[in-house]
Amino acid sequence: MKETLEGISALAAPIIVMVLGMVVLLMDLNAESTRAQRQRLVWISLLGLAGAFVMAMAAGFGIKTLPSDVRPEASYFGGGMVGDRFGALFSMVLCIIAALSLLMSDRYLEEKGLNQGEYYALILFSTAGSMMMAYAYDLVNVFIGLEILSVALYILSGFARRELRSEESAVKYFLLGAFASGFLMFGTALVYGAVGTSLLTVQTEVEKNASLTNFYTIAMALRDTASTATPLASSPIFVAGIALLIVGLGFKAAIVPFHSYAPDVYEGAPTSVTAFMSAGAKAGAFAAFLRVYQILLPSEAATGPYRSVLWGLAAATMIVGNVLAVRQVNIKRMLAYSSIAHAGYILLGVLATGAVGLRGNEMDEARSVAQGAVLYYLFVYTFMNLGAFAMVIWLSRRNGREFLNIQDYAGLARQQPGAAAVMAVFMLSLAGIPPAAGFFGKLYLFLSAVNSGYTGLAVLGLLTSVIGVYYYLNIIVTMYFRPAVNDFSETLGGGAKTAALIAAAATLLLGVIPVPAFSPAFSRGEAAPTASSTRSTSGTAAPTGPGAPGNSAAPAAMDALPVPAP
Amino acid sequence: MQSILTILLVLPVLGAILIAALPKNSAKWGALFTAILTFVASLALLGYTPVALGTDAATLEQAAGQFRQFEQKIPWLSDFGISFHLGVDGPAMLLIVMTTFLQIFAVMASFDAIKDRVKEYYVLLTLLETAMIGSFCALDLILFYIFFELVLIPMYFLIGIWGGKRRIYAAVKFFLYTLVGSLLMLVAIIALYLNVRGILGTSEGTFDYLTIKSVLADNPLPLRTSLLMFGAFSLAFAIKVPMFPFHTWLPDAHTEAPTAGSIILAGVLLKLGTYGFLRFAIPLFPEAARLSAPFIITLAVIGIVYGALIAAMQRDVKRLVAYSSVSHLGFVMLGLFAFTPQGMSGAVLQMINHGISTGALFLLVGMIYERRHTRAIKDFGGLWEQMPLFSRIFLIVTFSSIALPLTNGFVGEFLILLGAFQTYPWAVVFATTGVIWSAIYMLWMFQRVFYGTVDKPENRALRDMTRFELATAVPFVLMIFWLGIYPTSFTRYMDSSLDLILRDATGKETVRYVTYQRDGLSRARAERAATADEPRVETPPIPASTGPGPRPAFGGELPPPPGVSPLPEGDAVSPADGAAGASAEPAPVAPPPGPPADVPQPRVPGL
Repeated sequence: MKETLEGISALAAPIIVMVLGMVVLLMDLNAESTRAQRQRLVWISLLGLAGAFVMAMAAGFGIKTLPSDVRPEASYFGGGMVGDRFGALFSMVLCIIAALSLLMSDRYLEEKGLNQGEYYALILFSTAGSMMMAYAYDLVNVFIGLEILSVALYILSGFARRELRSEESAVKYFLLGAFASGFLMFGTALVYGAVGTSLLTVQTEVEKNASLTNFYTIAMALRDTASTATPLASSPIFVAGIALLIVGLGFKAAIVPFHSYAPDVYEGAPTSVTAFMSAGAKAGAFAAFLRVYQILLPSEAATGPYRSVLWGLAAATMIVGNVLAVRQVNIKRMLAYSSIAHAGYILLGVLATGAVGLRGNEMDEARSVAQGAVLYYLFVYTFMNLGAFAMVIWLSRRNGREFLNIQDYAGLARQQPGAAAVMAVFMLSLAGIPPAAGFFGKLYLFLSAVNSGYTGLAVLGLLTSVIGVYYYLNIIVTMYFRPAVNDFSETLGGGAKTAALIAAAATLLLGVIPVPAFSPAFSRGEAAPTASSTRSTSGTAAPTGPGAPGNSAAPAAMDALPVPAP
Repeated sequence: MQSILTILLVLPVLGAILIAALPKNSAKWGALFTAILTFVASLALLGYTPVALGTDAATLEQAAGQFRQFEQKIPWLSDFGISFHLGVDGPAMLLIVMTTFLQIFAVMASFDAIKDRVKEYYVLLTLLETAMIGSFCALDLILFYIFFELVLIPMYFLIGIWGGKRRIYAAVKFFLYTLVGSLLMLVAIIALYLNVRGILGTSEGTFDYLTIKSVLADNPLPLRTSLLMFGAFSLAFAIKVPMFPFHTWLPDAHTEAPTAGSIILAGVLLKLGTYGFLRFAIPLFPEAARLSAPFIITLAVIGIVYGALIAAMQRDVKRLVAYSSVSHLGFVMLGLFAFTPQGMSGAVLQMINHGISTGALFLLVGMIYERRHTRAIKDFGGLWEQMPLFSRIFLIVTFSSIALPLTNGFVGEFLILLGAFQTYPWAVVFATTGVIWSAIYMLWMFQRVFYGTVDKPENRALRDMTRFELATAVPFVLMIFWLGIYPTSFTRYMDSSLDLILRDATGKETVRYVTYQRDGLSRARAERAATADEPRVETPPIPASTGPGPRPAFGGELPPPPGVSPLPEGDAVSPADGAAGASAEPAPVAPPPGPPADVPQPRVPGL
């Protein structure tokens, strides 16, 4: 393993965002509380996020490590972090999530009387934590990332501290979240113990002082003990440890049955925080989820017990999320349940990374298709879901009070046709109706699920998404077909409007314009979607990216853009 | 003109942008301008030359050749083998022209009716045209699916915003009902993709229709798989048609939709279902289609009779017309699944006929609704004297709907019944009663609305048609007679395509071979016999007195349908022929394929 800080720029994104958070905090110290100064914080944050985005793209794209390659090409901090393309893509998504959230916050917080500099810093810290989860290659680092993410979110959800609901949201989130973190920690401890015990007895390439919670170590231990009398995969302690990890990460991703906090927390937290939470926390959790699952995959014995568990979780999440969303009258609760349903779809994609009944090349193929699909879906989900929350802020009253009941939006199309159209785009996209991007996201997810042998689950996903269509259409029905009850002439607009418009444009275009970064060929690290030979060489090739992102990685990124098939 | 299909897709989108930019009062003119422009552009499609069906072996080449003329293929989402692939064959081309034709009148019918949120209305109506045209010319399964779904969105808004009293219920029901079916189709499309990729043995699959079709023709799927997929496709299309048990969304949607919505709904959207069968469900899964045919025919016949009976009992004119659509579309399904040339031609012709006559009926009902704001039959009576012009045009359209000879309805229904009789005689026995029923419900309605004395005081003030309304109605009347008297100018475009579909579907040589020569403009007959029971390629020689080559038109065992004028030998230049080219030189008749001993024996006359 490469022990050097030389190529640390591969991890630039979380570092930049973390430092940015501190800078924002410091700048806020001497700032008089004028609006202009807060706005400067927003601009600085946006600029920094843009920088992080570019750095992640430049550095990460050069590296051809797959989340499924157990031995990463460029790793740092004793192998505990890995600067790879997978992490880079997640970081880019997270930069977008943070930027959109910040954009929609400013005026909203001002009107609510909450505009304090800490808010921006906390969002940035939280983003950095989520990014860290995506780059983490050690369960301990996953935990640290999760805590950075969560602690900031606990504070943020109670940020409207004069509102009872916000307080309730924060307390509920904190208590349950702390409990879930405990699960994750305990799971890590069990895995540590199980791996350490199993390695005592076998011949292995793992070094003596290697971290026992490192993904590489775990993968090696699984491989090396597979043929012994006491394989790690069937060790009860290991199985229990992984189960606890699923609980801990499932909580952050709001997977049924660990979802019960989500509607209350989402409803109570300030809307801009809810928006960030619904995508940012999920992205981090799913990144870690995907990494852990990829480590287990090569060992049939290790994934076997979890396939059916994850199958059940994905099915339950899709059903519960969609069914409960139908009855909601509060738009934030409805979006909370809808985000639970979407977590189910993403989980389906995670599950699909482990193909049933495929071997060798086909399996790798199916896996990279599924990984691309999950990433693409998160990308698309970011825009449509944050867009929907941005609409709630955009349309709120001048004093920052949102219209929370779905019925409040009746007749919106007559008074604000543009706003209604934008909202309709998000709803149609969330519902998965073409040509919005949500359709393509679902198409790729279900395609990869069927590809990997989860046809039943894909059909279930399609059927539950019909239920989804019903409640998303309900908003359109309300906006377009019902007579007005509220006056929408004075809306908040501002940054939320900009955020919503950006998100709407992305939602419309992402489906129609292919995004090379999320194609399976790209996540395989190939320049063109034909050759599969790079896979074999990727382990031995000299690292190109981390050294000098300015000159060597950028051409590599250019190479990676797929050439249209002749 | 190679890119005409793309142009047709783009024109309405540009039109919609134009409408959005226009002031409110001129939005309708913008929409009309766009519709007429698109229609004129679509006339370029009439340059389509039916591809000759020649020899026995090269079927797939020809299948692709069907689509070559206006084909466009641009790689799109190439990671998944999705391309922007457009192309038409005969039936698709005719349906596109019908769509652009109806669009003009849908816009004109909205001129007085729509006073609220005018700009949004015309933008949606214009965008709908793009989606419809796209559905008819997409040759990529995902692209088709996208257009197929895209149709729902504008229609949903048209019904939901500008509809009648129960519009919300109707709009949501319409949307969800159709979506359930098409999502299952999406699963089947994905499964098809993976299966074809498995067959090809490559890591890159394809959603391309022509590729998938040719792969499946060489490597048939296991019967169980193909039956499942056929089922999923069929369910999606059966809901759209709608076939008998899935029809309940139709009366609600039709009744609540604004006039233009009804015209488009009946004229084009229902055809998406039957077109889906013709283009996707049957050619992709021929064996499954053959096996399911008796079942589908049964449902179609139930639909014919049931739709007619329910229509007879309706009190609302628009609902009556809606139920009559269930009956008429039952005929189309009967014709398609009879798997005979006449049945297929009749079915496609009936698709166009139904678009014209039902479109006209909704248009006329819309006119009277604008005057009285009621559609209940009992609110009228004695309009014959009151609105002479309107009544007479309504009568013609009624006749067309009843399928009186010399009107378009007759040709379609007769061909369907003729075709279906050869394979499912008993189904035809029952289906024919539908013709009688349609006379009963239409004429009974006509009698109650138009005859008698004007006994309601409100009806005394009714104005006759305005000149503008007349202008919208007359083209329909012309089309009714044109299709009724000289259907050949339409069938000539589609027969060869249908023969090919039929050959794929039945795995047998088609009975009718009609060869069109590109430059000769002549319609030469190189009919080849074809035994309906022998598998193709190994057609055993049939001793017969008739030699190969042209033969007299009336040589078959069954008389040609009246109203269908068989063409004389050699060449016949129909009025529409002028579009195709200039040279009138009769081209040599393609020699009949097969071994010399294979002497054709005509069974059934062609059209």
